[in-house]
Amino acid sequence: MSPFSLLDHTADIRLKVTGCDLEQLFNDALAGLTVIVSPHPRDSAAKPTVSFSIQASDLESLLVDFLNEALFTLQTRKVAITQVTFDSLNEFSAAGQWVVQPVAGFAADVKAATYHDLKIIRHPDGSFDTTIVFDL
Amino acid sequence: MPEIPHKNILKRLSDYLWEIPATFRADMQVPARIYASQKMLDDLFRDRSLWQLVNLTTLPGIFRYAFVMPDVHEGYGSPIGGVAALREDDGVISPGMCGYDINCGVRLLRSTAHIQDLRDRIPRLMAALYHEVPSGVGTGGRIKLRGRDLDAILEKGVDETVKRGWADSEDRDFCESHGRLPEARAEAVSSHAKERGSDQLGTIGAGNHFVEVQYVDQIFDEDAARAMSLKPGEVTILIHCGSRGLGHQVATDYIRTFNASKHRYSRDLVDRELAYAPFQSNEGQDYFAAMAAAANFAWANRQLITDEVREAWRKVFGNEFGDLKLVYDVAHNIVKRERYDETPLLVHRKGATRALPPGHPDIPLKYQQCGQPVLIPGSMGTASYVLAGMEGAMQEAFGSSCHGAGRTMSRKKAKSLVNGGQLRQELESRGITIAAGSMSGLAEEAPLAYKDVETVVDVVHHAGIARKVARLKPVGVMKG
Repeated sequence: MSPFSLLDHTADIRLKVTGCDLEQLFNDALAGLTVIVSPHPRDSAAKPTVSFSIQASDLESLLVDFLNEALFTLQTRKVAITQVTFDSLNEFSAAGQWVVQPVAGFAADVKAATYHDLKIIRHPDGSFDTTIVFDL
Repeated sequence: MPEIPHKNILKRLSDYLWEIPATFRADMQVPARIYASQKMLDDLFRDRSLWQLVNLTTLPGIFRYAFVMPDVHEGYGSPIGGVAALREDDGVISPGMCGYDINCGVRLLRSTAHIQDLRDRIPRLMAALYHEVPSGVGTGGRIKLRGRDLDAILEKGVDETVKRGWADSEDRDFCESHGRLPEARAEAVSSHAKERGSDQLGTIGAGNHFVEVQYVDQIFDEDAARAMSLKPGEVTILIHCGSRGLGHQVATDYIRTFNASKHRYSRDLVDRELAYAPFQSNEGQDYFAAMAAAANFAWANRQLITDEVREAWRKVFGNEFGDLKLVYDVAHNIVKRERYDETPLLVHRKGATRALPPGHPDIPLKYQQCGQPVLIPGSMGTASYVLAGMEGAMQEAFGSSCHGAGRTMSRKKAKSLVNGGQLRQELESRGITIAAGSMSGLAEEAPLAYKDVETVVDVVHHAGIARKVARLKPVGVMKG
């Protein structure tokens, strides 16, 4: 089963994500965002990394901030994020590195990850799921 | 989730206006209103637009009612087509109600060229536009501004473009608010936002943004059309774009701030995307100053695109048809300080156009007799409309009208039903030249994904908000 799926929205797009733990949830959400923006990678042997460090007041805010920081990195550095490594991740903070690759452009313009109707559900087995609306 | 509106709770106020009473949900402070024809009503319940509308009525300080225009569809936080006015003294300001593309808007240019005299050269014009106007995701513009140069655009908007020779003073006169909100403060805009926007002035990006070449197909109001210098058969150019990444980041930053626990005035919100701060608080004032700066950036962006469009026009036609003149420029996503019933209000428009009536002091002298031009783009390949603001907009709609056709179908579904290449062929067989970077993006904007713009425009016309002046038919569309 795919760790994420794209759902209909009249004007924008909903991304439904599941993860066996928090790290997987964040990884899968980022993978879903990458599919939405559909980067056109350039050939490059180099694999530079970009560090991130995010603090938030709750888990939903942390996920939104994480995705919006990723968007900022994609759009200002003109790169795709091919891998993420977490140095730390809990309900209130995330820190680590993104491995990036230069791109020629993207197929879709994503303005932001939103809080719209956002709830992260934590299941008894420790897995998570949520649905995020992105403004296109 | 709180109760979702259903059809049998609607109260009919007129043939084109319906109301959800404030008793519908316990957290509503005022009623919610819907501009729609009887025939459109069923479609309104297909997505969550009306649940989002009702959520607006819960905002502290809301004045009279919240409402949606007939082009309404589901958004995030506010529905698209939503309008809410909040009292300045004890009300709040909500970045999510303005949206991410701050001052997304349209501007209309007119020429004295008749379509019959240049129809054969439209493909050349579209190629020149595609060359001159940078488009597509991640494509930067020719001008890169940082530091004080960027701050000057943020604080002065179109005035700064006049100073730099990208506009003339007549352009400034025909922009809503003269293309500059005086409350802007560049220091309220984050370094992230400035970095995201630094190479994006003069670019249209992607999505539903476009440059469209059209001609005046039909006149409905001859006096108003004369005032706007719109003549049958003459060529016009419509530009649709906003504040690009800079505006997106301003909204992102302040929605984050307003959601942070130490600032969360809005703990019990139905939807956190509508997080707010009191307008009189430091946070509220900072967001308003940053939003105004992003709005100024958007006006400057449309002005630079205008400069590029004029360059393309000159390259193809030389002096044969003279220069392109600005009819008007309107904002769709914005928060503005306006007064109704002597009450200072923050009018939040999310996918709605200001529509001031004849005699209003905030519109140019040229339009004092006819009212403010209201520009309504249709879906790609159909018609667009020029309307004129009417007194009804002031009396019951906080000087607002609809802003477009309004989507009815998701982008995903549109792409599953429409092949971009085939759509291009179909449009070209109808005499519409397409210059687009992405066939997939073209498919997303297929006409079948939108409401019928004529139905939408008829509602605001009959409701007495804005009357039809002219219809414009496309002959060329340029997209990212």
